Amino acid sequence: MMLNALYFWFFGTLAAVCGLGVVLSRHPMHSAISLVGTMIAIAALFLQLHSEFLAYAQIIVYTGAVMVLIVFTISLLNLRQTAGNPMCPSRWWGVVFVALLLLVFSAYQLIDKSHGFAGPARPSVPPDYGQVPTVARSLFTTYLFPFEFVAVLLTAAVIGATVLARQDPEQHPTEQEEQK
Amino acid sequence: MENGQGIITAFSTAEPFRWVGLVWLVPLFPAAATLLNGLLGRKVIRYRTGQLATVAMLGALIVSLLCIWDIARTGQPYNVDYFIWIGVGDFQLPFGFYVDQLTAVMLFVVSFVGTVIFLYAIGYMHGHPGYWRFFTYMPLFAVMMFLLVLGNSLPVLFVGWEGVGLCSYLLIGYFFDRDYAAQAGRKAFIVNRIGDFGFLLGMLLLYWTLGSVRFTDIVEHAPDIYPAGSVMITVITLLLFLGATGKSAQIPLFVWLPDAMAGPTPVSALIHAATMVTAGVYMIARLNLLYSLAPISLLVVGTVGALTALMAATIAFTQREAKRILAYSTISQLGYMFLALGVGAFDAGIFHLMTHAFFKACLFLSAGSVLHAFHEDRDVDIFQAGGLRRYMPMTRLAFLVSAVAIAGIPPFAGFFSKDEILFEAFAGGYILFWGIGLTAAFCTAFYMFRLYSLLFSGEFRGTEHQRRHLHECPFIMWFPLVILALLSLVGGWVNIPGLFPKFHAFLRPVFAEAHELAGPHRELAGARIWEISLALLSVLVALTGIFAARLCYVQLPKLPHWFAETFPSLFIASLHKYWIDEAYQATVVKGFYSACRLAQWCDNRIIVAGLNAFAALIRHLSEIGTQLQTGYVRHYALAIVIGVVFLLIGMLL
Amino acid sequence: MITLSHYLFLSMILFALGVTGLMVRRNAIILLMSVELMLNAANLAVVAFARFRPAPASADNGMVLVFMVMAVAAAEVAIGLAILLNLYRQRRTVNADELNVLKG
Repeated sequence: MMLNALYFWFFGTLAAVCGLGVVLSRHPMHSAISLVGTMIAIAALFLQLHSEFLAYAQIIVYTGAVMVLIVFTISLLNLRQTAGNPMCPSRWWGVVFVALLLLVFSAYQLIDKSHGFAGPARPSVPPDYGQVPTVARSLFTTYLFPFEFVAVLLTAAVIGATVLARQDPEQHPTEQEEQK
Repeated sequence: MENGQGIITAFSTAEPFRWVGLVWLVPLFPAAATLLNGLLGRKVIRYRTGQLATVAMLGALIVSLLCIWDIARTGQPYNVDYFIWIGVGDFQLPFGFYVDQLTAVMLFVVSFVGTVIFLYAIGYMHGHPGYWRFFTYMPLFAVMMFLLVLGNSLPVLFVGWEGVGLCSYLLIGYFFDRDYAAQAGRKAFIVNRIGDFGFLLGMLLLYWTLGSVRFTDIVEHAPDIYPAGSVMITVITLLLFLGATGKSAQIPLFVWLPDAMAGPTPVSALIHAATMVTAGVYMIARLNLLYSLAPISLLVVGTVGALTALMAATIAFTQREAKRILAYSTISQLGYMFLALGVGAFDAGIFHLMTHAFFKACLFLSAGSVLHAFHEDRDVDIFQAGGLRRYMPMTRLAFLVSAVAIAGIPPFAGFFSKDEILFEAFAGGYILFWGIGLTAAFCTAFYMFRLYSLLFSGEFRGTEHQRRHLHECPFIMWFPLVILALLSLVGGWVNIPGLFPKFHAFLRPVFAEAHELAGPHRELAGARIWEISLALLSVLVALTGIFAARLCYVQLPKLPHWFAETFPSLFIASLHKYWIDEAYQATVVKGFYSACRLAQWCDNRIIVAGLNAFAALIRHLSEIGTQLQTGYVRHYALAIVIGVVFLLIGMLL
Repeated sequence: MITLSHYLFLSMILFALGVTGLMVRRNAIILLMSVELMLNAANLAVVAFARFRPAPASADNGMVLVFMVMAVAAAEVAIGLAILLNLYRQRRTVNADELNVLKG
């Protein structure tokens, strides 16, 4: 039990600190690496919640695909440190803090209203909870249509991204020269 | 046959066959001619369009004769619904025909005179540009007139009513490249529109109060719904009469007819004799029952008719153009018909309508052949003519016969019908109407023989060039003249009072109920003696008129000048047609222009300006609104966050 | 003892961080990353709920939902990055403060 709490506190803190890093890093690459940390920590928490399939999916999809894509893009654009503050003008901070305070406060209120931090323990679950076959059975039976729909969505996204990112050599001759 | 089950029902074997069942063919023949000539006339049929149209009219005439024969034989009216034309909820209006004795007379007049005029037009229009166009509109005119007389409800009649208005516009404006013709067409159309407005209102009011616009229903229910002399029936009949004054050129809407001379002469003949102008007379005769229920309306009809008859006849005294004089003559004769209707002598009115169709068509076509000899399209100044009897004997003969007929000399047709109207007016106790009618009869004889004398007697006063080209018209033109002249002679014999009153006997079923409602006819003591003496008096008056005209324009040419110089005001008033056109110009047209200008001002200064101001206001407001759209992603995200925050606050509370 | 509330609180903190990043950063790529952070926070909450309060009939509804969200997030990132790439070619910047052509 103690180990369990320790596990949560370790990865929970890691996720929060890395999240802070995403927001505060001056360079996009550092933000990206912080985000990878957050995602790994969340994956670990998924494991703790017996959602093994999702934990692996999290690692593969997010850290493996999404983040790599982002890192590639950052490298491709070769973004130099822009002059001046990477943050927006300070007057925005007031607004943002008010929003955050409200969010956290309301979250606390919601949590407190139900059980507080002393809620009931985790109910016991069947041994195959969160295993790949279980999730797969749901996906291919009850949720077959949304699943197929997501497949179509991903296909559309792939085509869309290809079309959008495709470089038209005739349209931007100057750019090509620049890249040389 | 009451519920329109389609045309097949008309042939169903359940009922014995009647020739009048073929009546649908009557409008179909000229309609087919219109369609063929309109679609193929320009390129394919070309100069055969005239023959085609005439043959179509001949077909219509033959079927009409069959129908008339059937009606005369059986004496039964024929009512048929072909299909539901307008079906809106409870309102089911079938398109159907109604043939009774009155329709039969009208069918004969329209198809017979129409056929003769078409035949004449083949010769008259020869060589005119747009020959095919002429022979597209003319059968259409006939179709519309057939619909008008055949329709078994007011809306069907109204279709024909509007249709002849349209066709008259097209045909009066036939020479559309000439300004006067286009203007005359417009004038006819607009003036008729004013009348149609009254007609439409009357029809709607009738439907509103009676619940039906079918003639059979009107005859059946009108006496129960409208007490005699009630306000509603008076208003309805007066509104309908307004329509009739437009179509039949009575005071106050007669101004379009003299200008309608701008069309080719056969058109004038068709409008004046067979179609169009008779529509108003027919409509009132058709609704005789309603008018019998409204004595005030009848009085108005009679008064308007009498005044129109006299006024138009006096205007005709001083006009210089042949066709224009004939136009005023038509107005005057239509006045007679309305006078007859007004005194409740519907059959006499219809009788005069028929005889008038014969001799007026003849007069117009004769005038047309004079124009033809002069190579004129528009009109001929009678003071530049004269002595034509040597050059065009057939035309002169036809003209003379019909002029005598219109003047009312026995045994010509006009005598019987006109004298009957006068007698009915006298017998009905309308002595004033009778007096006016008698005066108008004198005027008619006078102006008609003034016209005849100036055209055909004396020496030719035109140019030498014109004189050398004078010629008699070809056979295809004088043959119709002969037919019509013959009918002008014998047309009145169908109703010789006392001896051979066939025409009235034929029409009696149509008007029986109205006569009954109007109360027992006032019997004059010793009616026969009165009738003969009155007839002698009117013949005497007509003869006086004729001799006066001969005296003024043949024997003593100085006399008219002396008269004009002695009574200049009378002369000028007649010459300027009592300044009616000018009065309309100054009041109605100017007033309308002023109203238009006012409307334009309102439109520009109030409506448009207001709308512009409003639009400007909206634009300014929207510019404020666009300030919200900064284009920064952050602001949009912030807006979402604020919304989420508000939602959370709402959940907490 | 770790309860549902712990997970939810962590999820809330991560979500707030994501919102802050979206508000304050100027680099469009970091904006995208902030959105990913918010999505992950939401995923965490969903999975926690699924574990602590499983639906009686089918316990893995929550997991299926998260799976869908992942797929959508992946699609979103792909499209978003493609747009950014294109944008950079046209305007030579990914600074969100300079991209305001949608201004009214």
